[in-house]
Amino acid sequence: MNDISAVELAEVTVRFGEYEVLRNLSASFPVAQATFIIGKAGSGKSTLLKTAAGLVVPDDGSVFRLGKDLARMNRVEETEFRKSSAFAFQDAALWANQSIYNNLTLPLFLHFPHMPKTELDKRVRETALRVGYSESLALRPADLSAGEQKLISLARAIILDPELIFLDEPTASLDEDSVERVLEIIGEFKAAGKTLIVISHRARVIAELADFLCVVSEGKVVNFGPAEQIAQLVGGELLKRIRTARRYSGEESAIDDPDDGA
Amino acid sequence: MLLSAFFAAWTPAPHRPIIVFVNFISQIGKRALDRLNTAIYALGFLGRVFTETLFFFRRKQVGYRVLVMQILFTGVEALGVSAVLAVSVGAIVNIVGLSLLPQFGQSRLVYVILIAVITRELGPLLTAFIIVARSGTAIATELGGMVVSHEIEAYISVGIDPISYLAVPRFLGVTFSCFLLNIYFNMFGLLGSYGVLRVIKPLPFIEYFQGLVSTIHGPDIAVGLIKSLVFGTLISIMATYQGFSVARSTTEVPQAGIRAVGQSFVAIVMADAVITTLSYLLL
Repeated sequence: MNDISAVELAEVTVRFGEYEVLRNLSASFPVAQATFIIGKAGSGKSTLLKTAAGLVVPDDGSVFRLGKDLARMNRVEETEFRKSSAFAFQDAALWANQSIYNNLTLPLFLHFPHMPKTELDKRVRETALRVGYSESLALRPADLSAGEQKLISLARAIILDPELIFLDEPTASLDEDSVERVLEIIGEFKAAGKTLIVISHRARVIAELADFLCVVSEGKVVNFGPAEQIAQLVGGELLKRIRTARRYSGEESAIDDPDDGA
Repeated sequence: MLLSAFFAAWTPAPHRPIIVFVNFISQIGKRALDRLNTAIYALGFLGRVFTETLFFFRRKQVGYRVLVMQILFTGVEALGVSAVLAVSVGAIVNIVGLSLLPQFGQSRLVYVILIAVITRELGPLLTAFIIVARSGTAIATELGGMVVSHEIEAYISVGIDPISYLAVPRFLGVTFSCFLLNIYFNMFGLLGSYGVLRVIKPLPFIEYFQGLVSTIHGPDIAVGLIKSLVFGTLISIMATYQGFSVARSTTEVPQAGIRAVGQSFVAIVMADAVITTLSYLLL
């Protein structure tokens, strides 16, 4: 693990009106690792993810990307940060008044204004196919199912080939085939050394892909560390899944399995 | 809050009215602070829209399409209603003027009234009202809906500044449309109304046209055009600001629309009063 964090939150507090969603929270997400954020509903996971991505501005505290404070970035630095990072939303958040094609080309237009049309088209079609979307690109988001919208949201996030990817429940509302495809894509990004910060409730997804786990409760990080260690603390289904996944992948488990010795 | 708690703990029962008074004062103070914060935020928003507007044409913006669509919706699609309204108002002024004024031997005053009403006052005002009713509500509710569905966050996440991409094209589109629609309203109000007038009172067009040309002056045109630019700015800023002010809930969206319309109407009439006063004082 590198000394410098991909994203670091330092004593961050976020309030929605009078209510404190994140309370003096600090967390450091390592570079080139997949960190999964887990916690109960309403614990502040999505707000934590959005704050880390610079989409929610904290009321107190700071967020750093590779040691640089997001609040102090100039326009060029911010554009570079956005180009190198991507966010796939829990509810897809596609631009409703734009076609699927425009939803995918807009980030490319912005960051690669001189990209030839043929290359642009090629990249859009390849990315759409990569996430398993083969319908017409002229459709509007409202014409798509919730699952397809999620896939396009993921496609929009990865079309710039970012170094840092935030995924909010990437497998929610997807069928099993699409879940497999999304896991495959996340696996490819992981293998390519990208930094992934993911919220997921699926024990299987966490077990297969998580390097680190960040447990959030009542707006605070209560546990953060290597997935197996944290799973041991959390216990239950997650621990079983991680053990099974590690066995299948042939990795040496750092967790003492009581069943092994029995 | 602290002050209230202190008084609640230390004030004996007979003095409880003091607590009520302190609570009342603290509520006023809190509201005043909230208003101040809102005003500062609104000024900051206005400043950012103006700053980003300066860079809009210099940057290779993806917002051109939004600008074109906004002009289409606010300007082009409002041509019909604007023409009907302009011809009607112009005809009313013409008919009333040409019925009453000859009784006082002041027939030519009809042109002065026509220009004062259409060019200086009602033209810009009614154009602005049409735009508030059509585009002000549409912009506020559309942007509010985009906030709720996280589309604005999605723009930020890919590096698109919502002010630059969503607010500036709407500001430019509405202001430009208001300006052009005002000219269009004037043409129909002054010239188009002649068609209605002719049915009631036969008057050679040349005579009518010459009467208008000899009466209209530069300041009349300038005041009308300045008003249309100011009104367009006010409508677009109010609508985009209210749209972005939606926080989380869909129930806030229609409220934002209502606020945008209400505030725009008040701001337009106030601005109209100020510009009219200044124009009569200075010109």
